[in-house]
Amino acid sequence: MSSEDELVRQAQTGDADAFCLLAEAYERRIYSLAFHYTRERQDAEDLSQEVWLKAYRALASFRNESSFYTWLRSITINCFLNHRRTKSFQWRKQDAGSATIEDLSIRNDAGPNAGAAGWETTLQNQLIVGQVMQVLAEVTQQQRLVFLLKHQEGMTYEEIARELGCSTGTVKKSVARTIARLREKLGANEEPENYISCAATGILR
Amino acid sequence: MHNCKSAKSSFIDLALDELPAAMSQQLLAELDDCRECHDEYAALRSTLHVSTQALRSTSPGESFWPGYRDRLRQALVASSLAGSAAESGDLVSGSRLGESPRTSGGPWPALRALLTTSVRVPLPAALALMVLFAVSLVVLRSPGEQNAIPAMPVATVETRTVLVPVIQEKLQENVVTRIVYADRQAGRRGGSDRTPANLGNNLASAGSESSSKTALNLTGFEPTDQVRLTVIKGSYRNEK
Repeated sequence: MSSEDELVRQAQTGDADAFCLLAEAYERRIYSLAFHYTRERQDAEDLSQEVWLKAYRALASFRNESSFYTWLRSITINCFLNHRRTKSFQWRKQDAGSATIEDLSIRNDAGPNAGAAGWETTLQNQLIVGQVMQVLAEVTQQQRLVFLLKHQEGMTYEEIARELGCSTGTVKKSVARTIARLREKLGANEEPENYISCAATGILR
Repeated sequence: MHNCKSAKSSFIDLALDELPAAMSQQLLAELDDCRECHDEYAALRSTLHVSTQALRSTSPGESFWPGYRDRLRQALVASSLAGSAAESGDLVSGSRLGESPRTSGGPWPALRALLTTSVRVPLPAALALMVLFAVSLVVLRSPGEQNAIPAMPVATVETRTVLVPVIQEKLQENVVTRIVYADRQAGRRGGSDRTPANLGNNLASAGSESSSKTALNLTGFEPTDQVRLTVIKGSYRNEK
């Protein structure tokens, strides 16, 4: 029995510490998925914590028929879909991209003493991230979720279709549309030389 | 035979590992022979790679996670308090969560949790309990109804003054007037005094004299019981 299975078994008996250890193992993946889906830090934290609370309450129903993360991801998708139906959080299209670039300052590994090359690298990365996030903001919530489940989580078309209750063809079309939008947005920036020129143009204006 | 249009339609599935292994190998081999398809597929892979790196870079820093875990633990504690009684009994009362919500929140959270706690009961059990409760109500109520002595009404005398309207008959008085004209000629023959004082006498004498001539009588006139007969005596002088 693996350590994860042992933690699951202990958590099923009511051991909250064991559950917290399970949560620490997957908290980054769940939070990242929630953040890319909601595009807001606070909404992502609320949504991811709701996922953990639901998992904690439903842990007794986990039968080890799949991996713990697969079971947890199903709960995550259900939470996302419920949020989308109830519209408990509102997606802010006006702030698409800008908030992400500001938030990325916490990930600025170059630092103020890194020199011009470090700043340029950081700046171009921020711009690329901003463009990717803007594309995710412009597509529908369904397309965004499908793309994240496929591209970030590595789920198959069939798994996504089963979770979302749609056809495989719908999933394929949704992924293709999002990738087409990404190519339109990032097409000019795919070569590293173009990152710097584009970034400089955007800043100087 | 390589077909660029057909190959490009499968690039996304190829990049996302959705094609069977044999088909993937065949398509990759075709890409080596077609420069245009090779560049197209390379651009697609580059887009996906950049997207992957961009999504990964948005993960918060390490300083974010301790606070996140603390908030999650607090949410678990709150959820345990608001959860079922069995779950809250197992998880809250123990030291597994590291802190006791009863000591941190005072008696009010515990009281509120006690008042708002619900217990999940299977539907058949709930129905059985309801039926049992209804049957017990009927059983407890039936002997009471059988032993109950019907209350006899107690007769009491009560004096009341009731105003009853009395309809009184109103007597209707009918006046029957009969005008009797005295003979003028007889009056002239009787004298020239026409004074009122003598008029009655004259009329009486005239009446007595001419009773046989004018037939001044009330024969045939029969007043009813309710009619009061009043005879007004007068003369032509009272006429206008």
